Amino acid sequence: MSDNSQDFIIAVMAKDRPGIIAAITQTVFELGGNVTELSQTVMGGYFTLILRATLPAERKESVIKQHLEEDWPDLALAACVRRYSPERLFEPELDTAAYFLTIQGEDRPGLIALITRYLAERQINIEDLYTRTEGDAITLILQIHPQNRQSAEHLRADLQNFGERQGIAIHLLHRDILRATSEVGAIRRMVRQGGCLS
Amino acid sequence: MMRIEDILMTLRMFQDENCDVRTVTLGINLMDCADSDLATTCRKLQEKIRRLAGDLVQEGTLVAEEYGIPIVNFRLAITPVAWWAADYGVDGLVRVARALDQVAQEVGVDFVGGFSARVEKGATRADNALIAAIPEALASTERVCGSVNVASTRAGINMDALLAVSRSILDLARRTADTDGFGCAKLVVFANMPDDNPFMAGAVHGGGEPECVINVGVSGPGVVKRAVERLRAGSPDLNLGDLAEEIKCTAYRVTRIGELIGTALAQRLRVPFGIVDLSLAPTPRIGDSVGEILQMMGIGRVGAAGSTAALALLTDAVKKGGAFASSSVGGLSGAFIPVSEDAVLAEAAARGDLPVDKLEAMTSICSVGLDMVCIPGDTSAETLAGVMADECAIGVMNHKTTACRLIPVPGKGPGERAVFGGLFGEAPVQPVRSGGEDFIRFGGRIPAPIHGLRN
Repeated sequence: MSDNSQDFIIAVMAKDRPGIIAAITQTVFELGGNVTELSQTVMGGYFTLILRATLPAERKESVIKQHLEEDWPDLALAACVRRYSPERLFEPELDTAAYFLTIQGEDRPGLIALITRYLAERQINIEDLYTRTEGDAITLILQIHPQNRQSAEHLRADLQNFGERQGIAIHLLHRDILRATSEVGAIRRMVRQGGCLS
Repeated sequence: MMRIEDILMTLRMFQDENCDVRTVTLGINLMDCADSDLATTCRKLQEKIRRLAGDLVQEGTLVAEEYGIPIVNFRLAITPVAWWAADYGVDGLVRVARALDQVAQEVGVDFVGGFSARVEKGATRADNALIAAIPEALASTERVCGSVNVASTRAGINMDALLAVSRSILDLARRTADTDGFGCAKLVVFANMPDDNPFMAGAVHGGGEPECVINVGVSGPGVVKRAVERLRAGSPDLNLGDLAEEIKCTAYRVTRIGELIGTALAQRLRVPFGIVDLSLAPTPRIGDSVGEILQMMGIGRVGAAGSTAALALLTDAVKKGGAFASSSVGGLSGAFIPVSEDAVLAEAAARGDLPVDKLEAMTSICSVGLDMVCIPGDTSAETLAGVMADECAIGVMNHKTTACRLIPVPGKGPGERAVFGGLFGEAPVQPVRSGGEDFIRFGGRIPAPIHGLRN
């Protein structure tokens, strides 16, 4: 891309069907852009996608949105477009490890809000979240990244009390434990790269 | 995001299935502590252990908390005492044991292994003194563990040493009669002793090891049992190959956790990481039993026909999973069958399904030997030596480690029970057959087998 280009973040939602990603990436291409990152998921028959693309800097967000929503009327896409800004509002310290927080218990309204508020108050960022309900039971798995080692330690110390107060089973798993049991890469390299214990 | 099933499976290993790091064992070379003056030696060994192991428990606890993995025991393994405490005689060696006991308590480890000698080809003056010192040393200390290697595939079986060790075991049992001879639980007699085994009571910091090293022993009978249970519940038309594959994959995961914890702790302590020993080491807790795995594999009565084959499958699958998981697998790595420490095995022994003969057969393919087996207190030294010689022969002829941790229970005979409590559990006193004493009394050395000449 030329120097006169700009990264955009584009989010799109639609009822799921074949051809959505093909349509979106076609539009980005026709607008002179190149997709550099993309992630999608489908839930309850609804498709959602977020992508990062480099486009000519003069492109307006409203024009990109308009093309996405109007070029493919059959798909009924709902788009949201922002110019990419490199400034980060949350940056965990380098020596802080990532964790998986698992919550299992009886489902009830407000549970996810309660847990995520609890994490937000402790400066713990949620990088990924998955929920599964089976009957009355709910399982939440959150990939989290505390801002610093202190907030990780506080979280660990407080988790059991929090779980007992709320009547849920809550556990913290270090990401490296899961990598160790699920991947085939060398452990020594994993520990060296992690740097969380240095 | 990782696969949800992987995350939940890993969580279950710790939450429900008793997966843990059974021991972190810091190996320390004490050769440079030897001095012509006994008091100086004791001071030097204590100073060195304090210096190298002083932070072991604290740092290990931090790593355990960081990863959320329980580390059950912290232990030390030292250079076999007979190698560096040559001239102190029996009384001096007992003082060395007490010095070790004291410093072990100070640094917060529950056991220190290495009150040991290697005598498979012949015994030095120091070796003989150490064997003679074993009863007093282990009876008068709490945390010191001993071991004697009496046989190897390269050297054969030193029957003189074996008989001397048998006499020491009987003496040690008498000195600890008030605890059903529990002192003998701290002594292992080996064939082909490993130099890097982190598990007690046979841990030593052997030849060729660095100055200081972290070895890790992981365990997970409960994890393996539940894996087999789930597999059987979800797949009606399984065969033994499927079971082996599932056990292998489970062993892989458990081993990886051990290596991760060991590597991270070694990095923190700035010492090399040595090996991870994946051995299915049971405890008397329900759901932490090798016997339960065999039951889950279809051996309804442990000791029944098929038990040895099932144990062979289990041990081999564990080794294969461990070997793929890590290039640092060592120690014993297989399945332990310590009778008193495994509730299902102890029950089978009490029912008569698991006599010493059957246990001996099973030890020919598992990773250790006759472990925590209680025998009558009036067993003669020759008969005891004969039982251990049989076990050594299995190891020597098959290029494998075998070990005996036999407990002659003073004042008790077949049908009675020995109770040790805690993780050491309880077990019935089992009869052993006498009648081979003359063979033992020949003495000398059973030569190395022809296949010991491998060069």
